[in-house]
Amino acid sequence: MKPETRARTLARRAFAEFSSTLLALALIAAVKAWQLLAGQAG
Amino acid sequence: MIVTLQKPETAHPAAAVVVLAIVVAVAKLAHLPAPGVPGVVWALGFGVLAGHGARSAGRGTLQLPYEVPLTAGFVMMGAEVTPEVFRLVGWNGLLGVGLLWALVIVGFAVATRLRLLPSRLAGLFALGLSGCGVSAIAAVAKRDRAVEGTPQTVATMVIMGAGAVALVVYPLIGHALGLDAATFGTFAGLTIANNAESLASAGTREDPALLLAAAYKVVVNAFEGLAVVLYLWLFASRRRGQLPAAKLALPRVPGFVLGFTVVGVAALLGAFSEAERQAVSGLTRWAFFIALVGVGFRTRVDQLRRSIKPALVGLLLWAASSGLVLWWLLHVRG
Repeated sequence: MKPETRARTLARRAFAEFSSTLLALALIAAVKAWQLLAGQAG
Repeated sequence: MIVTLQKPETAHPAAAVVVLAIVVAVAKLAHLPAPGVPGVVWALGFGVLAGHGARSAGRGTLQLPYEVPLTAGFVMMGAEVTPEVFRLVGWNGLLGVGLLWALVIVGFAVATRLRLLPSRLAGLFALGLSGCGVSAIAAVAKRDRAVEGTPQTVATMVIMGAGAVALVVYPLIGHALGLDAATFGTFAGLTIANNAESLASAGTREDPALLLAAAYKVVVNAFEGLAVVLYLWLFASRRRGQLPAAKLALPRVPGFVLGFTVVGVAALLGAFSEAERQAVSGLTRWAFFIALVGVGFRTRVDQLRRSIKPALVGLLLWAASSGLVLWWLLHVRG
């Protein structure tokens, strides 16, 4: 397997493995941002 | 004669998302007027009905995309792990969690050795009944494809059945044995696998039953990642003819377990305010609700008819381990 093909395969696997973790972290970040904005508005 | 081989018709991925969204909306609407019935019952129930309808309509290949909400919910659950919860439960409580885990692991390992249960199904029972519930079973089924189908269905139904039995029987046991509210809450939190049934059962008693049951659920959930890894290690790696050394090889830790650990450590270090924790907890409940609709959709209740014996073994072992935990609470812990 060519190095770039292998790198792409590894990247795809890593994304599949951690996509839901990334989504969860994005949601948590959104909650924190929302609370921060709500705190500033209040 | 010309024979044409047709590939089974597969639905467009967007169609699966739309179906999932519709069933989730209907299940949520049904849950609103009856909040006393746990959400897990509505999610799984409507999922099962929709899946049966799809198969009857010749759409048996349709798969709902529930893996992402399931594992994302698992990761977000880490935000509920706080030092206060561990303080409330204390070392004695952690000992209780360890005792329950030891009982279910040993009990189901013995059942496997006696050929009462296949190894993977025993592992699913042990995982679910250790307090981790239906969500953990769905999570490992995504990792260990050998349990998708009948084993996952049987284990899910047994966990749900045990929860339903506990909702009715636990208050009667509490009354008959004269359990105080703290002991009853600990008993319900430790031995009822699904959060909703556990809290509903504890809610039948006065304070601090509900608070303690909730604390125990959070503590057990905090160790859910470890339980998943233990399942993969002890029950999923067994194959005929495998060398003992190969059996002991540690499994690769799933990405969502690592994610859960990162969020859990952040929560322990005080990364979340109470308002943030409440908001993330709401998102977690939504994620599991969506995921359990998907789990229900692929669940075939007709498979249960062929699995009555293992289901009964699972229920009996749950009852035995719960009984031993109660004995420990009454006579050893004091």
